[in-house]
Amino acid sequence: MKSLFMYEVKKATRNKSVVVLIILLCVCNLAFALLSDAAEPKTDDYTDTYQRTLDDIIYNSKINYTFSENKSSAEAQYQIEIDRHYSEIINAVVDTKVSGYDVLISSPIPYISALVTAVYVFSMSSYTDVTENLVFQTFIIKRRKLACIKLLFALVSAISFNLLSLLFAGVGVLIRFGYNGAFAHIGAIPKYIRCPYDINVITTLCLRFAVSILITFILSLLAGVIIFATKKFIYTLLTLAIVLGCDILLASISTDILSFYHNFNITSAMTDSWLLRYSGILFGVFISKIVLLPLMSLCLAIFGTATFYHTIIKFQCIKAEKKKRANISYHNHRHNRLAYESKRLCNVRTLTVIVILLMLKCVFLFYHTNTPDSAWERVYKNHMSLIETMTYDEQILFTINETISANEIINYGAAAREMLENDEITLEEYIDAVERVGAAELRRDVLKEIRNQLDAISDLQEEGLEATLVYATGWKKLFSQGPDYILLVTLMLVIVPYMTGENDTGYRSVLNASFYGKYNAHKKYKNVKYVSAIAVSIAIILLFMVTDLSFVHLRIGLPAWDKYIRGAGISAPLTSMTFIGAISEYFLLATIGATLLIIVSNILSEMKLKLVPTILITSIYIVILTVTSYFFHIYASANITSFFSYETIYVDPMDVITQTAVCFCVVSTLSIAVRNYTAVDR
Amino acid sequence: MLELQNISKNYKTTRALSDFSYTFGHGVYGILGPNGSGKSTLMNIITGNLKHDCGTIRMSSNTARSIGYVPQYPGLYGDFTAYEVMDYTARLCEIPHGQEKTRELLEAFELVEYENRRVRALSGGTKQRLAIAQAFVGSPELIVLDEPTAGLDPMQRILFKNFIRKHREDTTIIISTHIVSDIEDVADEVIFLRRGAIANAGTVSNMVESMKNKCWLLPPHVEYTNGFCRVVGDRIRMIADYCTILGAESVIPELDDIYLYIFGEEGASNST
Repeated sequence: MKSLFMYEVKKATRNKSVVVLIILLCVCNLAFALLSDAAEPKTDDYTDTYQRTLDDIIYNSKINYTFSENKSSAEAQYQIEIDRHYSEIINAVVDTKVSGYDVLISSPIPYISALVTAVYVFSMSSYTDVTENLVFQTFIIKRRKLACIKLLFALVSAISFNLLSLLFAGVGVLIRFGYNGAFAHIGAIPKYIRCPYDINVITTLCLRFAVSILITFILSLLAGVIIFATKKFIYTLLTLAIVLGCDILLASISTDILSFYHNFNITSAMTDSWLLRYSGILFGVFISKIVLLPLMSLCLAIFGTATFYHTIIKFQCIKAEKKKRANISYHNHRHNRLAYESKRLCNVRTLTVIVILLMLKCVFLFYHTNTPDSAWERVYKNHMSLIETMTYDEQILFTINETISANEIINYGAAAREMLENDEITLEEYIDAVERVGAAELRRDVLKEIRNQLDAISDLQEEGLEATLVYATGWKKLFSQGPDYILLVTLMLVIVPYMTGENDTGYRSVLNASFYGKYNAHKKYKNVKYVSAIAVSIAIILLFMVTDLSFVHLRIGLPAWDKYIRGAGISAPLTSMTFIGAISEYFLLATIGATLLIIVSNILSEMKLKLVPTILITSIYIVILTVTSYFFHIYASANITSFFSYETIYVDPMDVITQTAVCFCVVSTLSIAVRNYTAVDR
Repeated sequence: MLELQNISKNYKTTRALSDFSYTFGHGVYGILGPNGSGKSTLMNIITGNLKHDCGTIRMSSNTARSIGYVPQYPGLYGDFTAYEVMDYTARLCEIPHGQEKTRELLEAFELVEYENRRVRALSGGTKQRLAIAQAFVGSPELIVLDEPTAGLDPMQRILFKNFIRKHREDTTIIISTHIVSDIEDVADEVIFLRRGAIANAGTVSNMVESMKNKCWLLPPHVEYTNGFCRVVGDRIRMIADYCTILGAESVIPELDDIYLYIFGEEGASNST
């Protein structure tokens, strides 16, 4: 059994990518620990703060208990429980320095990196069994043994990679902060000041480590089951990306620590220290849930083990698909060239890339549009709803009156202190005046913003354009997201493999021989290839744009699509540009950017480069030009990233045209040069 | 002992195996048939990799526990060395002196020089030899070889045949192939499969006996006519119940002639 297990380890660790990932895991964790700072520095009177906080909690619970009508109700008993829990730990020693442990407990990096590595290693090992399946075909009767060994391997890899990441992070922490306070109470870490449990720092670390191992084990088994069920590695990646993506989104959407999504998702368990969730003011559930999460994980682990075991026992090496081929008539296979090229482009790999990066885009958009429901935003929204039905003159009048009223309140507030000192007003009146000053200052800021928008509208009206006031937050968020690198990477990962496909498969020599002396046929083939690539690029761009617009629209709101963008206070050089015009411009430029990308990758593929060098060279080309234009403030350069940004609306249209022309000149020259070179070569 | 009774297998509407019944004792059994005749399906059913639709398979518990198998496209762990592949199999078989057996087989299949090389780096023929060698690791009672000689050079084929011959006494070896010469010298019994059913079966000598006076060597001036003829040197051998060509002489049939006799019509229709 032991030696068979060692062979299982060999299957996984002899893969180069696994070795690279393990090295990365170690290096990343060490670097993270060496470079990180303590999450929350402690003040000198931290013990006092701790005791005061706990005193407040105990006092509140006593008050709540006193005022509860039914002393035997669940609520009253709960208040007693709070009192008892916190009274036990109020005198705990919390002044010890525990910065190192704080870093290890609070950061998700050691656990997430261990999870990714362990799942990948187990997936690789399972994939090897599926593709090189002689053993599985021969030893059908010994499948139970193989399943047990693989389960053991999944568990051991989950433990060892978590241990490894913790070890390297621990070494970094030791060098950076030292190892003081291992046995200090968990309340010594400011984040856990309200934690109701009488546990020390090292126990917390072990608990988190245990939860991490369980989750890693469960996800490894899930990956294994998918690989054995589908025999494809790509489906595993796709499923895991969807599971983790949805999980991250759910965790992000629900910030309420008592919500179902927040409590039962991987991300919260791995990234948010789960103890934190029982340590806030809403500690109403701490008694049951500290048991519930590990219990849930354990149940899932048992279920995963049973499923994986069953999948291996029932694993079919041979698929009975022969009839499918036999029945298809020849005529059904007839497609035109475009259909064949589209078929080459639209495969599972492309779909996976798009899904994964679209998920990433959603996460980015979630954080980008995460405007806290601030007082400013509320006042702005309120004012906009008040004045949007008014005429322009009424709007101007309204803003002037409101500004005057706000200024009066502010002036009164300034005089209030002097009046208080002269006993002209009472303390309550003074406090009321100060509070009203705060509100008035906020209102004045909002009115200033609205006034700016109205000024812009006035300019437009002078030019004969009929502009109206627009609620601008959503549009400003949309236009301020910078170059869409995720879209660029998606296009690159879809287009480049397609363009270099002939070099990767070795089909180029066959094509060259087929098109020998047939210039027109070769040209036709190239054109079809370009058209397919551009069509798919447009589809991807539209998909990303729809995601962008829907996300911002649903979270903030994108009103008045046909109105001028200057009406939202956005200073675009092209005065007559509407919102729909800006979106169309983005689409047009993104399509041009994608076309440039296609031409560049085609040039590189003509040079007989394969996928990895082509992606590398294209990336280097993009990065160099982006950095150059950033440092030298040259907008009109051959910079592909700027084509994927809404920022072009802030740029003079002539600059954009010049940039496009320069880009096409550079790329076309290169293309001609390469074509001539390869023609000579042929 | 392996007994198959009325085994049938359909792939949707295509019948891959049709009421296949046969009893295999110790010795070498050759399964011959053209592409698509159901050989690999039969091999996969015997080894349990494919479920049959109906019929029964009976084998002793010892046989069921130890089956050696070389599939048509053997997938070996590319990152293991040749020695590790053998050792891993030996450990899975739980044989008491695994290392000795491994060494013995590596020597028998001339794989000693490759024992520390990774499978990924081996040539196609060497990989095939390794796959065959691993099938013999646990000294199984039943060995199923699906087109085992694909990719082997003539010397390696001879080596393989000699090895098979040596182990025929106490083992059931089933070899599926469409290359007649691979089993001609080693097979005790031959089963001809046509469209999933047994077209003919028996010992090679019985078959030769039944084909007596059906194989003719035509005189040099006669030209090749159809699927029932094959060219041997500058002469043509013809399979027919009788021959009216002047100068034709009756000869002892070979397994190739029997193959031609059984599948000639199919071959002729395929060629037209």
